[in-house]
Formats: sequence, structure tokens, C-alpha cells
Amino acid sequence: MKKTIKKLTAVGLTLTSVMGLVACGASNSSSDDSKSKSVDWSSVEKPGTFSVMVDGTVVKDTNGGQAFYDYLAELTGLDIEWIRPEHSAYYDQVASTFASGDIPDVVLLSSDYLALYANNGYLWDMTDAWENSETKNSGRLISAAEKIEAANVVLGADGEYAMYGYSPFRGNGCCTYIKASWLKAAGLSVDDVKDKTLTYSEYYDILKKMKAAAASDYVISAPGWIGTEAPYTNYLPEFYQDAEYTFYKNADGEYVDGFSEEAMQNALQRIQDAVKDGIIDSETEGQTTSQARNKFYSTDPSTESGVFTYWAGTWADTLVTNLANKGLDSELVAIYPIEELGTYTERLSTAWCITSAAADAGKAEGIYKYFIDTMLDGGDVQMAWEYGAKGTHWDDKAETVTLATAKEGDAVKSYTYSEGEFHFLPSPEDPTTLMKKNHIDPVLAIASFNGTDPGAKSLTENVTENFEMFSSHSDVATPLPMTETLGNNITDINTARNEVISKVALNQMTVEDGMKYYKDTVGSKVEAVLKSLNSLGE
Amino acid sequence: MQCKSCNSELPKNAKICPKCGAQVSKPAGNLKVISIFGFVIMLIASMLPFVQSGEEVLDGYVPKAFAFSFMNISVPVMWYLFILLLVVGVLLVVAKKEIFSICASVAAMIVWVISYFGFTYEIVVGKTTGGGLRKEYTTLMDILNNGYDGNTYHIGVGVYVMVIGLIVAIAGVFIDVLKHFKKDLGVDSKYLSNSINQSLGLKLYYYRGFYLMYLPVLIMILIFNYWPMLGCRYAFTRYVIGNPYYIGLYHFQTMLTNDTFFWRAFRNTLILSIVKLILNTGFAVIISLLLNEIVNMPFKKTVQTIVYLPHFMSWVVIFSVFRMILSVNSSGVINGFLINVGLIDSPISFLADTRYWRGTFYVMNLWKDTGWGTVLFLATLSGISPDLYEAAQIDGANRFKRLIYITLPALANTIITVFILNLAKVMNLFESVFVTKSSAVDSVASVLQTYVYDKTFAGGNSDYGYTTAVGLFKSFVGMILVLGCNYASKKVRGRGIV
Amino acid sequence: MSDDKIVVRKKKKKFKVFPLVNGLIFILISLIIIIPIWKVLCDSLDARSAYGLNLHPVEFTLGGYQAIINRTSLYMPFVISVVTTIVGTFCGLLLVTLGGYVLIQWEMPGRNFFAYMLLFTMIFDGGMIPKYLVIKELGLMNTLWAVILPMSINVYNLVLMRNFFEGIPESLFEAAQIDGCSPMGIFFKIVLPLSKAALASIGLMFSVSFWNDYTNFKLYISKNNLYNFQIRLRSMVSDSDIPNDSSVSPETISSAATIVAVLPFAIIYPFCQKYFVQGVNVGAVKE
Repeated sequence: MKKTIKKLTAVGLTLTSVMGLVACGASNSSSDDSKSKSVDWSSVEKPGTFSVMVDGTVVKDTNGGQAFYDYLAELTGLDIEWIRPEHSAYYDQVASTFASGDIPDVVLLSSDYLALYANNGYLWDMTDAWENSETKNSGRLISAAEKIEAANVVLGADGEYAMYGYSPFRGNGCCTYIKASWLKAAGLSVDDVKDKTLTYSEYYDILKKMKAAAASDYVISAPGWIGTEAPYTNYLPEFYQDAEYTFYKNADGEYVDGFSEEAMQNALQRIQDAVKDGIIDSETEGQTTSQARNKFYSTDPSTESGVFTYWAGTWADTLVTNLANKGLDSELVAIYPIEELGTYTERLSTAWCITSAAADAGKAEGIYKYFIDTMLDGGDVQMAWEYGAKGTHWDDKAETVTLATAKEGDAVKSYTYSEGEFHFLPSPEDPTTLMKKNHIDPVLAIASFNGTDPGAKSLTENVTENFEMFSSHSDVATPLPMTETLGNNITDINTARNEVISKVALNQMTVEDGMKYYKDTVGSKVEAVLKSLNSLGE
Repeated sequence: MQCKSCNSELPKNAKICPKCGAQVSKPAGNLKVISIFGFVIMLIASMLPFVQSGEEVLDGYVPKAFAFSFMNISVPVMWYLFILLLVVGVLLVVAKKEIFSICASVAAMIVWVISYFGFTYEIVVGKTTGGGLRKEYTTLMDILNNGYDGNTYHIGVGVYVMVIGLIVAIAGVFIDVLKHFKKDLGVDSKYLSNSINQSLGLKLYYYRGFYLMYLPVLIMILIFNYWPMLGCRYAFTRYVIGNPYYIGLYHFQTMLTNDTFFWRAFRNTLILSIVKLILNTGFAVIISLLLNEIVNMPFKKTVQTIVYLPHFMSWVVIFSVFRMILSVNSSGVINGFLINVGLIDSPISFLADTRYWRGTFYVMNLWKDTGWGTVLFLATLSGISPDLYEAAQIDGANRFKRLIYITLPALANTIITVFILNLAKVMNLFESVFVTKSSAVDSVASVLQTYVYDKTFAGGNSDYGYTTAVGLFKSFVGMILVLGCNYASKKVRGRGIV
Repeated sequence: MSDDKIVVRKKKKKFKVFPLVNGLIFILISLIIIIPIWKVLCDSLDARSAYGLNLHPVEFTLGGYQAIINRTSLYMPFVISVVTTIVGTFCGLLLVTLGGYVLIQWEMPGRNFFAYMLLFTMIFDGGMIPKYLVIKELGLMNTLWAVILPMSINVYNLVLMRNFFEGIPESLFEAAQIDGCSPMGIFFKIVLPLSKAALASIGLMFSVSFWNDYTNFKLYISKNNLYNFQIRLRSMVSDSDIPNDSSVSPETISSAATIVAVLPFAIIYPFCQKYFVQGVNVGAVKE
């Protein structure tokens, strides 16, 4: 009996080991360096079926997504397979899709991921396509367009810089909103802050006065001490001022680590003091944007915040609406960047990328010409990308639109429109509000319509005014080139940075101790990254 | 055929005479486990670097052409052949044809030597458009003599391990270690004849239904427990967004020399789980001693029901309850109370402050598990004979003395058992920390498992190979702990824990 | 005589003080356990719950529970939890009983090999990432099987079940065999009916672990509509990911969700306490 057991053991062992080891080793490697040959763009044909992976910024399936797909298919004649992961887990899904090798043809990526995947050879070089595109040569581009697209020029797997993504809209950024009611309670008026460039000490005095007058534990409650993507400092810009969170190219054209510079040390000291003075919420740590927003709308005076740095443009309106819905005083003042800050920073925009999978299938040019390039065609397709599907999200026929009521007994809101007048329809997801926009925010699009924007009237003055203020006082963030060494180490380095920031902010560490800790834990990694960045130009 | 000692007629295939119990056929020797062990060493050696770069492992850099082994040979068929020969060798040992297994191990060695000198190996120099790897090829002799990219190379640890493996595999054939561990059951062998004398085919047929029943279990075990073990080979590769390629022991070298986060996580794992273990066991003992003194049965039952309850709540619920009562607002239950009493001026952030997090973690663990921990102790206590107490009482021993001389000695064995059982699980600390920590308290809360999770899923450029290496290290330490505790358990209470 | 009396009196006095103190200690311990749960229960019924110090609802409402019943984003996770718990417990019990039954066939060729195979998994495991890659290669990501299957093969419970089975007298098996019962027949007619207590005990252990599962969902599921209640609760508590409801505060909803997460086992647990306890004792004494 023993013998048979042993035999079986052996058979089992054999099976298991062989089973696994056969799967080992052999990794496929095809290294045909097909250089991009010149393409005759006029003769490029439609690509056939292709897959598109996009986050929740395109109307979700629950919000009439299917209607948009059908409408777009009708307009462009493209056969698209849409892949729509959950918005909050979008980049997890993207990462696992690329890791598994089952890559979609088109994917929407943030600047970090764009750089990463371009560097690993997963994206298609669209430099030539962009140069010859209708959008670029249409004359409808806004002046900042070139600068925005320049951020999509990153390092490819071949070691050359090229444009690997296309952003049809600008990135937007954050500006600081102050509640007028809080100003008044502190004995100030709106005119003290509006359309003025304050200095930090003036601004801080105002915050202190507001704190003294308020019942709350704090004046500002931000979504975390530091953001998770560039520009990192955008939720507390007045305190960070000119400090750089990560690596950047300084005036001498050399890459340096912004975090270990003196500007950051001063910034950390300011934040620590502000937390001590009860200006910044000590619960800011790990707070999400929705938590911070809820504190801004809070009806409980002990948890309400009075100053909030948040997205410009559409959000200026949304904040006001939500405050009004909660029965709070909804007058907000968006202030100019303070003197030490100079300008607000505009975020790097997400970009549409065509993957190497599409290129291998010979579809890349077609997808660019008929899908990407038509997004801002100045006509119906642009309408679809900005406002959604006609008949589901917006319409221009004569009709009366009635919003559903949240509770019985609420006032019924209805609007009447004449024939040919553009208007939004109630949102399919939440029929108590009107649709606002689709993927491309109308104020942020990098190209205008042929003629006038049909939907311009639907934008409130508040939004346009706020966005104008923001664009005249902002600057686009500069992208950091992705090197392999940077990619390997940035997570660890950022972990150490965030730890230092939160400990210093909560006064568990002095600034000096924090910097020393930073050097001790990741100093050698920082040096390795700097070396790799500075050897790029050579 | 007849039995030699009692001359009775033997059944077909008999190994033991059913009448007198004498061995009829030649006794099969024990399995030569040492030899099998040698083959396993050779298998592991085939993944270790044969030739390795002499460059220093610098923090932050990933070197090119760091190591060469079967995992990056340009003709992987050689590796498969090598493994096949090892498998044949193991089979021969198992089939008790040990002498022939030497042929297999020597043949494997020859395959290895040919691969070492005769084939080219891959160097990954970068990525290509399309997501592939850009490779160059070199022979081991060339790189040993001429170096690559300014680095010199030397013979790697794989070669030494391979030679050791071969020696063990061959020497093991002649050493029988199992005989020292075999226990004689003391059963007269003639009683065993009934089962031993049956032929294998007959038995397999008889048990066919059972094999069918076991099939689902076997499949699940193979898929969810053994397949992942094969994934450990990724610990020797660099694995960023697909396309793993061999990098030798680089990950282990970085992990042990440069990664402060790793060491922090390792230290935290030990501190958190051991302090937790001591506190939980201590409190559970005290509570069960007190609980045992309650004479009013309904009251005792009610108390038991209440204190067991938190054990069935998930960590998410515990976190949610504690987050609520530890809220940092001045209106939070605990903070509000402390401020009212005048102990503190401003609210304490128990769950986000590195100074308080560990304490809070221990308290949460005590709240959740102390009650449940008493179950075993109470069972032991109820087993102590009341006569002992009565006798002691008559001798004039007070409550304290009875505790010292009767109760505690009776409990000691159980306490040690509980301690050993839990010590073996020290490395597995995960969900309780994962749910209750935030990144703010990483310096005191990050444990190995959460470190692996955070590092892998933090971003698109995480290296699966590296985190697999950390996981492998964790599993390895865990294995040592389990085996150690198993040994301790055998010493203390006569039987193991696994 | 007088001496005796003193002794008796002393004894009586001691006898009174200690139980009193002991009783008080346990009342205190019970309060420590109950008050946090009670507080959450109150908050869940209080429209304006803002973590106050009060131990009773100030403004009574059932709005928190109503929100859970009405909102898809809150009741779907509950449904997912129920489904995984039921299916998972069934799969788990199936595997554990089959495995346990085969492992008591001492003379079965290969039995020891199977036993050592199980044993080895308790000593060494591949780790989180290789397991994740396996689940991915199997194409189970974002399906409920990724959560159910790996957890239903629980070696510890399997060994526990085997220990229970070992307690069944050998003679019963022999008698059944003589009556011509097949292995399957013995399994269903004798083994299972005799192990009702064991099935209850191990079934409860399985269902608790499936109901409370957080890690597997976190690792293998990234679709909102497949999240279970624990994941949803965690995101409500730590990320304030709570649907806006004008009638009650977000804290009320998250407190109500906490209560709902505890409720199923809080209800059945007092009746099944002995099965839970039995499982632990068998596990430790006869592993």
C-alpha cells in the first residue's frame, strides 16, 4: 500500500510541476521596429469595429449612455464597442487591462498614465496625425490649445519624444471661494476680497477674523493635505504658494526635487501654523473631495467650513446651487490668486490615446481620422460630445420641459422653449435636475463651433465669469517626463512626502525633522530619479 | 506459493502471511526523501542566477543584464528538458528504483552544463512599441570574460546550489532517514494482511466512488492553493504591466538592503500581532477566571452571550463603530467626554495619529475578541474537578491560593496551546489592519500584507515581481513560524498544530 | 463553638463581597460592549445624529432604514452579500463534507497523499499577488465566483469536519456496508444525518466569514454593482460615499447601514451560540 501511495505522490508531483512550469519562461517577444511611414491622410478609410475604454466623464450608462452611443454612431457611422469601468476604479481597471494584454483600441488616460504607457510602448504615435488633422488646421482652436497638446508629447519606448495623446479640452483648475456670509460675520465685506490681489498676510488676517467669528472648529477643510495628481498643491494653494511638490525643471534647466527645497519647508511651516490656529481642519488628512464638499455645505455650524478651494467654471455654479438647496446663504466670492502664489495652476488634461493594439490591427489612422478628429468638428459631433444625444440630453424643438420633484409638495419647475431654441432635458439619472454637459465641458473645449456655440445660452453667467477670471489668472502645469527610474520609485517617494506633510501639518514633527526623515527614507531614491531625469537631455 | 515460516498456502499478491504474520515478499525500503529533497534543490537552483553581475545594488536603479539562469535562456526547451529529467528522477526514487535515479540526476546535470556553455541568454534592454521587450543575446562565457555595459560578472549562486543539489540527490539515494521516524504501531502484522495483501487495482476499483467524491476538493486545492505557489517564480522577475523578465535575486537584494518601508512593515507586523496576542490572551484568561466564579447561571449565560457578540462583527463594522465613537469633532463620544472632564483641550484623532493608532488598534482587538477568547479557557475550567477545590478549602486555602495552586496549573496547558496556535498566524495579520488604517498612520500601522497590497495596487507602474518577492518572504517566515510552533506544540502537548 | 461561628461569619462575609464586585465587573464589561452598539443604534434612528453624547434618539426617524430599502446603491450590496453568503456556505459545506469523508477512509490508496497535500497548504502559501494573478488568468475577475470559490475551499474547516466524522462509530459504517450501501449512500444516509451539529457549526463559521468578507471583494471586484455590503459600508464610513438625502443626515444612513450589517448574525447568534462554541472547542482540542 505504501508503495502505491508513493507512486501516486510522484504522479501528483509530476503533474503539478509540469503543469506550472510549462507555463513558465517563454515570454512572447516580437521586436519589429516598424517606423511610422508617411500616411496619405485623405485616403484613410473608416476603421471598422473598435473598442473604446473611457471613465465616467462620458455620460454613464445609467444617464442615457446608450442614447449617446446610438446618436454618435448615427452621426459618424462608426461601430464602437464601449468599455465603461466604474469611475472610481477606472485606473485600476486600466492597469489590469494593460497588464493582462487584452488592450482596447482607444483609451482615455490621465497625464501620468499617458506617460507611463507611452514609455512602455503601448501607445500609438499621433504626432503626424495631429499635424495633418482637420481640427488643428480648422482655425477654430483657442490660443492655449498648442500648450495643452504639448503636455501630451512624452517619451516613447524608442526614446524619442512624440505626441501620444490628444486632449479635446483643457484641464481646468481650482480657485478659492469664500462665503460672503462668513465675511460679513467677520465684519468684512465682499469688496474687501473681490477683484483684488491680496498678500498672504492680508489673506491670513481675513481667515483669522473669520475663525474668530465662526462657531466651527476650522475655516478651511480641504480634500487632503496634498492632491494625488499634478498640480498637487491645488487644494491649498495659498499655503503652498510657490513650493513644488515633486521634481521639476528649474530656471537653470536642471531637474531638481521641489520637495526638499526651502520653499516647501516654508509652506509646511505655514500649514502647521494654520492648523494650530484652527484655520485648517485637522481632519483634512485622508479626506475625500465629497467629504470636504459636504463640510462646505454643512448645515451644522460646528462642522461648516467657510473657505473652499475647488474647481473653477461649472463648479462655481454647482457649489452655489448646492448651498442654496441646503438653505444656506449661497453668495460666494472667487478670489484672485494671492500675490505670493501669482497664478492658479491649470491641471493637465486627460487625453485620448490610440493603443498599439489598434496600430497592429491597422486601424489607428482610421480611428484617429474618424473618431478622435471629429470630436471637435465644430458641428453635430462636437454637439454630441459637449451636450449629449439629441432628444435624450438636449433638444431644440418647441416644448415645455418639466422637472420631477424630489419630494411631494415641492414647487414644480418647468421651462418652455420655442422651436430651434437649444435647451437641456432633465437628466435621465436624476430627473429633478437638468443635464449639464457630456464629456467635453463647453467652457473648456479647445476648439469653438463653426459660428456660435448653440448651447452657449445654457451656461450661466456665473460659470463663464468665473472661468474667465480663472483663465486670466492661471497657468498650465508642466508635465514631468516619465523615466523608468521615476516610474519605479515615485510611489515610494510620494508615500514618504505625504507622510511628512501630514505629520508636520498635525504638529507631530517639526519641519526640520520631517525633512531629515524624508532624506533618510527615500534620499537615495530621489537622487536616482534626479540622475535619470537630468541624463534625459544628453 | 507457500509461506516459509508456517507453510500455509498464500493468496495471490500476498505480502504478509495472513496466518502467522511473517513477511513473505522482500520488504520495500523506506522512501529516500533526502534524494527527493536534492531534486527539489536542483529545481530551485535552475531559477537562481548562474552568472551574476558584480555591480552594487543601488537604491532606485533597476540594472540591465543583472543575472542569467534557465529563466532567460534563449531556448527554454532546455529548461523543460532539465525539469523533465528531474521529474523522472523523482519518479524513479518513488518507485524504489533509486539507483536509476542517479542516471536521471546526472543526465539533468549534463543538460545543465550544455545549456551553460552552449546556448545564448537574453538581455532585456528596453521596451518596444507594441508593448514587447527589446532583447539582446549573449553567451555566458562572453559575458564572464568581457562583461556588459561596464560591469563585470561572476559565477552566480545558482551554480553552487546546483552542485549541492546534485550531491544531495545522489547521496540521498543511500541514506534512509525515515527509519528513525517510523513508529511501530505495535499491531500484529497478520491483522494487517487483509488490507495489505489486496492488489492496488482492486483497491482503486473498490474506492472509485471516493475518488470521484474527492475530485472537486482536489481540483479546488490545485487551483487555489498550488497554482499560486508556482506563481512564486515571478519573485525572480521584473513584472511591470505584463512581460515579466528574469532579474535574478535583485528583488531580494533591494528588499533586504534598501527598502526601509519593507523593514518598517516587518517590524510593525511583529509588534502589532505579538502585543495584540499577549493582551488578548491575558485579558481572556482574567475574564474567564472571573466568569467562572459567577454562580448565578442565567447571569453568567447573559454575560457570555454579550461578550461573545463582537466576535461575529466584521472588521468593517468594528471600524465603523469605533470611528463613530472616536470622532474627532468636539461632539464625539470619547473626545467630548475627555474634554468635558478636562483631561484634554482639543480632540484627539485616535485613528489618524501615529501616537494613538496602535493603542486604538489594541483596544479594538480587545473589544472584538477577548470575549470569544474565553471559550476555550472556560471549557478547560469547567473540566476541573470540584473535589479539588473542596479539598483545598478544607485545607484552609483561600480563594487566591486556590487560584494559584489549582486553577492556573490546570489552565497553563490551554494558555500555551492558544499562544502557540496564534503565534503561528502572526505573519497573516491583514484585514484588521487593512480596514482600520489610513495612509496617515502607515509608519506605525503598515504590515507586510498591507504593504504588498498598497505597493501593488497603488499605481500602474508597480512591479508585481517585487511584491511577489515580499509575499514570498512573508510566506517563508510564516512557514518557519508554523513549523517552529508545531515543534513547540509537540513538545508541550504531545501533538502538532498542523 | 464561638470559634466556629467566627469562621462561618468570615466566610459568609467574603462570600458576599466578592460576587458583588465580580458581578459589578461583568456589568461594566457588558456595558463596554453594549454602549457603542447602542449608540450606533440610536444614531441610526436619529434624524439629526451628529455624534452627540446622547444615548437616545433625539429626533426619531426611520429614514436611515428607508434609504437602505429604497436606494439601489444601498440594497444591491445587501443582496450581493446575501447571495454570496448562501452560495458560498453551500459550496463550502459541500467541499468540506466531501473532503472530510474521503479523509477518514484510512485504507484508501492515496489517502495519505491527499492529507499531506492539504497539510502543506497550511504551512506554505503562494501569497497575495500570485493568487491574484491566478484569479485573473482564470477570468474570474469581477465575477462573484472570485469571491466564493477561493474562500469555500477552507482547509481548516475541512480538517475540523474530518474530526467530527471520526467521532462516528466505525460499526455503523460496517453495518451499512454489509447492507450493500454505496459510498455515496453511506455519506447521505449515515454520515450527514449524524453530523447535523457539525454541519450547523461549520456552516455558521462559513456564513460568518462570507458575510464579513471584505478583503476578497476589495482584491477581485472593482465593479460598483458587484460590491457587497461590507465594502459599501466601508466606503460610506471612511469616504462619506453616502447618497444625498434631504430628510436625514448622512451619519444616520451610515449608522443604519452598520446596524444592518450586524443584524443577521445578531438575530440568529443567541440561538446558535452552542454551535459556534462547539466549533472552537473541537478545533482546538482535536485538530
